[in-house]
Amino acid sequence: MNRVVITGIGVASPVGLTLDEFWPALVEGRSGIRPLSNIPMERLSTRQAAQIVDFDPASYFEPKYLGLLDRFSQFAVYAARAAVRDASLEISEELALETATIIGNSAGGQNAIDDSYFKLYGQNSPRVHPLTIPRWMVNAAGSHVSIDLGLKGPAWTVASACASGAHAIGQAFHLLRNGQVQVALAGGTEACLTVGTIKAWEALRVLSPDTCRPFSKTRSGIVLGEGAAMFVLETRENALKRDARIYAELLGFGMSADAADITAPNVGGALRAMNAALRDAELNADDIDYVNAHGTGTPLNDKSESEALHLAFPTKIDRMPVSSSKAVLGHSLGAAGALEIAASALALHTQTIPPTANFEESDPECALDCVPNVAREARIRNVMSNSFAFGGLNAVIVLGTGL
Amino acid sequence: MDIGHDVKLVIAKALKIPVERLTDETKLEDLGAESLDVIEMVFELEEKFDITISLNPNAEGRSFGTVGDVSRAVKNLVDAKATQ
Repeated sequence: MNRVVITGIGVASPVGLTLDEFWPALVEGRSGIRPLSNIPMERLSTRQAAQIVDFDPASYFEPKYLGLLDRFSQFAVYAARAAVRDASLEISEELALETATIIGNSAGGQNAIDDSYFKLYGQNSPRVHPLTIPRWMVNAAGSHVSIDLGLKGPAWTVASACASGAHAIGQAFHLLRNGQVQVALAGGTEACLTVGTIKAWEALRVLSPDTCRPFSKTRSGIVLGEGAAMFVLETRENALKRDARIYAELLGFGMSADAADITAPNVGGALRAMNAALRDAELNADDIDYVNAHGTGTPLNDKSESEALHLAFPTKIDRMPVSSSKAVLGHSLGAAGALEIAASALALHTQTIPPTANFEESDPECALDCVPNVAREARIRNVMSNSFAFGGLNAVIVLGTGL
Repeated sequence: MDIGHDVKLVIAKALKIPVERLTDETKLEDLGAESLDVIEMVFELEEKFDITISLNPNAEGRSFGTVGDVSRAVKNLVDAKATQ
């Protein structure tokens, strides 16, 4: 079995379009949650989101290509190019045949759908834009990453709501570990900040009226976000051969289904995914030094995740730093797991634990060391990253230093 | 209304090329127009002239040849609409 490492990371995030902006914002707890802009607000009660405001598609894509790309594909291709550059990876014709493209996404091209349905129902137009389908289809982002970079190996899209990014990276990890490909481009992307989508989230009554405060007693719900994180994954042998920088090693991937409620979190499902990831990594609970939590900031998730963490780390939870990046990044659904695995890899690489920002008051129902507001330097051997999706689909990744 | 000129503007916009490159004799395939480009062009023409162009690019010989062919088709449809 091959050892598998991360050698390139690319992000499009509400706190920056490069790692040089992304990582300091997470470490300093500078939130990307801001007043919503660029969409009609009259019929929304939501006033904020972790929106990307400095992404200028025209400077990254030729006009003719841009016409084919919904915003979620733009983020994906942008971040994938950045990851390949970051890895200093030359993709030869031969390597392209051995490179997989596995991208997670939840909602597809929501901008394409919103625009077309507004024309159809709102303006009574007899027709919608002819590129509505190729822009909207959920696999469009993955297909465009493959097209743009010329990657010809196995390629598919993973849809497991808020765990999509983590499931995609986990599947790429196992393909590489089993020797089925030499390189994989994997990650998650989402661009769901349209009037229609936000309205639908409002109706579900899980959005916070102000901001995201994971694990805080004053937490009041999710703040939606958008973005993408993409990774170049390769075998450790390959990486060493070409003298590539190694951010982290993928050690374990665990999955489970709650088989219970379509929206409510479930302690048992979360616990089984964490235990499966530890088994896959051949590690004990005590070998983990930091958990990057799912930590959405809803009353239910954070309580249930805390309970599951206490069961997963019975002898260590009192000393275990657990933080959520969602106070900074918002909840970007299919991209969230990938952005948080980027945070986890950078935590290992820099031996720094990013804090849970926006923290106000501890909650006995979330009895965790959630690294409130201030980052910490620490010796980190292994990190666990949790993603628990609506629909009860759980994905947990365990990372090591790759030494 | 100069339909020929307006058609050229729409084609140029849909194919993302300068309008100066277009004459009535210009063949669409010489402009690098692929199937999706033609579909987008037809959509823009329908929007601009409020007409419905029946076009099935999957059927052999049903696509347009030159810019002039497009102008004539649009003009016929606009005239037909006016006489309704």
